[in-house]
Amino acid sequence: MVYRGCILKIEKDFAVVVTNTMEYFKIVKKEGLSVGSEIIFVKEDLYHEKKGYIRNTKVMAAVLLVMVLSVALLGRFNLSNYISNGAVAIVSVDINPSIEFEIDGTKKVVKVLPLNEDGEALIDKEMVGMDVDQAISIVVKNGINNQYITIEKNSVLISTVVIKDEKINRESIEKTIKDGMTLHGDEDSLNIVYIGGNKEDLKDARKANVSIGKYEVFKESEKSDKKITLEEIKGMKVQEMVDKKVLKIEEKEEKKIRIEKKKEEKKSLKIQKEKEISQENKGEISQETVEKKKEKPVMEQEKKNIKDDKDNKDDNDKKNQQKKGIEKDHEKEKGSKKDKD
Amino acid sequence: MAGLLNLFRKNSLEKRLEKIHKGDQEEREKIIEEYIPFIIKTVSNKINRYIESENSEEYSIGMEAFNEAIDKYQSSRGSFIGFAELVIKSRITDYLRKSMKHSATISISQMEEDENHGIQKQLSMDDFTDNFMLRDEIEKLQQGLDKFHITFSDLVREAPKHADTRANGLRIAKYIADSEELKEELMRKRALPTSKLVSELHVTEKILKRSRKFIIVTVLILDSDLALLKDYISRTQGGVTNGI
Repeated sequence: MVYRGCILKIEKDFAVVVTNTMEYFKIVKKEGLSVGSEIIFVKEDLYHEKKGYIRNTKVMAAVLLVMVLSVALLGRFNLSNYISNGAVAIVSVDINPSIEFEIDGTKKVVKVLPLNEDGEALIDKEMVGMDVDQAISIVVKNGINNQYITIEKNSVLISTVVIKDEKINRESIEKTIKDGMTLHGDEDSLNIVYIGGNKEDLKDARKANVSIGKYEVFKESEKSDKKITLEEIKGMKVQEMVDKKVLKIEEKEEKKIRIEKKKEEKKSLKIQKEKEISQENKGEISQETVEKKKEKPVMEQEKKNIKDDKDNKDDNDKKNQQKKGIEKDHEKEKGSKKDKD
Repeated sequence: MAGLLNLFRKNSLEKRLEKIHKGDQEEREKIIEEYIPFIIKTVSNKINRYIESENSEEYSIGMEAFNEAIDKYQSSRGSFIGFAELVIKSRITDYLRKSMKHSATISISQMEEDENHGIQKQLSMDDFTDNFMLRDEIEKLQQGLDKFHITFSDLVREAPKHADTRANGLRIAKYIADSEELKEELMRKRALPTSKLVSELHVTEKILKRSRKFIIVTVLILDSDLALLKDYISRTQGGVTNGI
């Protein structure tokens, strides 16, 4: 069957023709077609749209986009993409470097994650399997060695987020860490801020690429008048946060810190001087004298310690009445025995 | 069953070819006639263009090639169809190569050459103008259809398949086109003057409804300068006034 017809319209894949018998057909598009030209064609040239084939490429593009997005987004909403299976809680440690520990029900580290470049320097894959307090103390040591922690920059933010609350609770984690600090303690006068966080914030924190600790600080700051962006907090050292009062501390506590710091400075100056003198008068000063001199500060020290303890007790009661979960803690000086070393 | 039929066909084809080899001219003409669609399909697919008329070069070449295939075919060369296809394709290729050297149809790359430019203009100008005017008319037709919210694709889908229904539709369209009154009403209302048609032509509303778009486009064509299409209509059963 041979058809003769006139081309009425040309589309992307087909052309419309009207035949000399006044039939209207769609035919397969070939080269050299022009509207108004007469052609002869056969049955095989008739155009058939494939079944189920979407002709509309825009629709196809949209469908494809939705498919890709849903796969990508699916991952995001699933928390298990962010934390390992065995993780029961997350403890983040921020100084300037930020790191995160995932711990299991026995408070042992299952995963260590550096959240920024500086964080990488403080961690070790050996930490996996350690008790969390032990791991944290190593972090602190490394922090001191790398000068992230100094006498003036001694604020550390420790944040705890419980994921499986049937298996563990925040208080017990924090206690372990605190006890660990005291035990392992070559951390002198660390200014540790404990903060709690919740699971939901974890997602947001991850998305923003910031530690949960800093994220919680950000949330707190939002409530207050301080308008700080997440980006700013990201880049801030914890010490800055304390200094700029982003991290809320009770005034009494603040004073205490200042006093403590001053004492610290005085002491370290003293010790330095003594060292210098002893170096000058090398042979002349007997060991006794040196020791005596050193004993003095120790004795004074101990007196102060007793006094501070008393004060602290009162404060603790007040602390418990505080809102959210922001605590401050002082680390007492462990004797100048360490100074000798 | 189908297998047997094919076998039967094959054999008869072989027999016919044998007859032709022996000199049966009538049989030759018969076979060529039967295979015209096949020849057209093969040529068209080879050059990826539609053949414009039986007078075109490609068409003649195709026919000659098919004839050649009849003469040269032997059963040792596989199926006749396959063999014929090969011969047609190769003759067309030869023709294309030749025509590239001399012909007036110049490819785009050659168009950029100055000497050819003049020739191309001269030879194709007339065709171009005719074509251009026709395009213009068809453009107008489409605009007319737009006012009725009818597209060409609609027509492909909805135009009557049966020759009789078409014939009837053409008849009705012609009647409207011939009457100033009805034509005016159609254009004004943007709808068929159904009641008048029913009473004057003795057709049912149902028929008018089914062939509505077809009838309207035919009226528009009749009212236009589209000589070719008007010719189609008059040659089609039902399109002639003194017809059925």
